[in-house]
Amino acid sequence: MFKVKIDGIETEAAPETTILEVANRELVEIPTLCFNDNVEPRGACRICTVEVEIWGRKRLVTACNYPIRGDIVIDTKSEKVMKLRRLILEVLLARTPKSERIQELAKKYGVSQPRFTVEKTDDKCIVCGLCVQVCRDIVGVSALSLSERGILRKPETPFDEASSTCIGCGSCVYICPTDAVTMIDKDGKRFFPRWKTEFKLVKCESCDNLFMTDAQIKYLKKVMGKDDPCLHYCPNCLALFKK
Amino acid sequence: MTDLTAVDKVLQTHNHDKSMLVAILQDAQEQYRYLPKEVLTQISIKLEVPMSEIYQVVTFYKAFSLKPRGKHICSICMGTACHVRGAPLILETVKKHLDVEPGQNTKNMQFTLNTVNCVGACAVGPVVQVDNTLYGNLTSMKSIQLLKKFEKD
Repeated sequence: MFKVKIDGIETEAAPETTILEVANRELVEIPTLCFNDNVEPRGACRICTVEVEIWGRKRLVTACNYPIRGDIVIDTKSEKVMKLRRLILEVLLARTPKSERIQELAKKYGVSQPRFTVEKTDDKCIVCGLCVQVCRDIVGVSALSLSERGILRKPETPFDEASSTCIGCGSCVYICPTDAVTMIDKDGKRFFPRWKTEFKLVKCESCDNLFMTDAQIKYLKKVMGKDDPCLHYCPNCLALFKK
Repeated sequence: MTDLTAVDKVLQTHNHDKSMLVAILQDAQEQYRYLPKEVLTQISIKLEVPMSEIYQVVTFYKAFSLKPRGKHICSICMGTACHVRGAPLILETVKKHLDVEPGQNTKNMQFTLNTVNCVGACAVGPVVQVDNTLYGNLTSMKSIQLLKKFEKD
C-alpha cells in the first residue's frame, strides 16, 4: 500500500490503482468526459488532469489512467490545474458549442466565450473515441473507426457509408458523453444519422413491442451458438416469464 | 470490377500476416496506384482484420490514397527553404501547365499534383519530387521541361 494525499485528505492506495479511483473513493470530485468504467481509460479528453507530486517533483497527469506506483501527493484544484481545465474547456466549447454537457462544464469553470473560432460548429462530437472503443471492445463488431488525423480526426464508419458490420445495438449512443451519436426509432426502423445506417426492428413475440434489430438477433445467435428465448422476447416479458 | 489477383499475390508474399498490414497496403497501392475499396475488403477478409481498422490506418497515413491517382506523382515542396527560393511560382506554373489544382489528377491520368511541406533537400531548393526521384535547383521553366519528360511514358 502506498501513502496518498489527495487535496489534503490522507489515505492509502494499492499499487496500480488510478488517481480517479482514489478520488471517487474519497469523494473528491474530478470532472471526466471520456471516462467510462467499462472500457480501458485512454485519457483522450484531458479534462481530468490533476497535479501530482512524486519525490518533490510536480507534474500534470490525467487522473483516469494514471496508476499509483509510489507515495504520491495529488492536488485536483491547484491553480495550474484550473488554468489548464479552463483552456481545455475553451477549446472544447469552441468546437462543440451546442453540447449541453460541455456548456454545463464550461459554466462551472467560468468559461463563457472561447477565444478560438471553428467553422463547423453544429457537431457535438469531442472526438474522445469512446464509441469506437465500445464497438470494438465491448460489442466486438468493430464497425467504427477514428479516421483521418489532427483536426480532421473523427469517428465514422468505413468510407462514411452504411456499415455492413454494425448491428444497431446503440452502445455508441449510450456511451457518448456529449450526445453526439443519436439513433431514431421510427416506423419499425432504427436509424443512426451519424453512421448513415438503418436497421429493421423486430417485435417481441409476446407483447409486440419492438425490442431489437434484426442484425442484432443474427449476431447474438452467432455468438451464443444457439437459439435463445432472449432473442424472441423483450427483457420485460422475459422477467415476467421467470416469475 | 477490380482484379484481385494482384492483391492476393501481395498477401501471399506477406504470409497473410496481420502485423504486416502497412507493408501489405503499400505493396497493394504499388499494384493498383491507389487503394480501391474492393482491394481493402479483400485484405480485410484474408487477414481477418476489421474493415474499420484498415480504414483507420489508410486515412491516417498521407502516403495512402483512396482515390485513383495518376501514373506519375508530382510533389512540389512548399517547405520554408523552397518557399523563399520560389516554390510558389513553380506551383503556379505547374498548375497552369497541367490544368489541375493540388490533390487532383490530370484528365489523361498521367499526373497527380501534390504539395508537400519538406522533402529534406533544402540545400537544392526549390525541389520537386516526381515518383521517387528528387529534382533540385528548379525554375519554373525547368519544371515544365521536367514534366514534359514524363508526359509520354
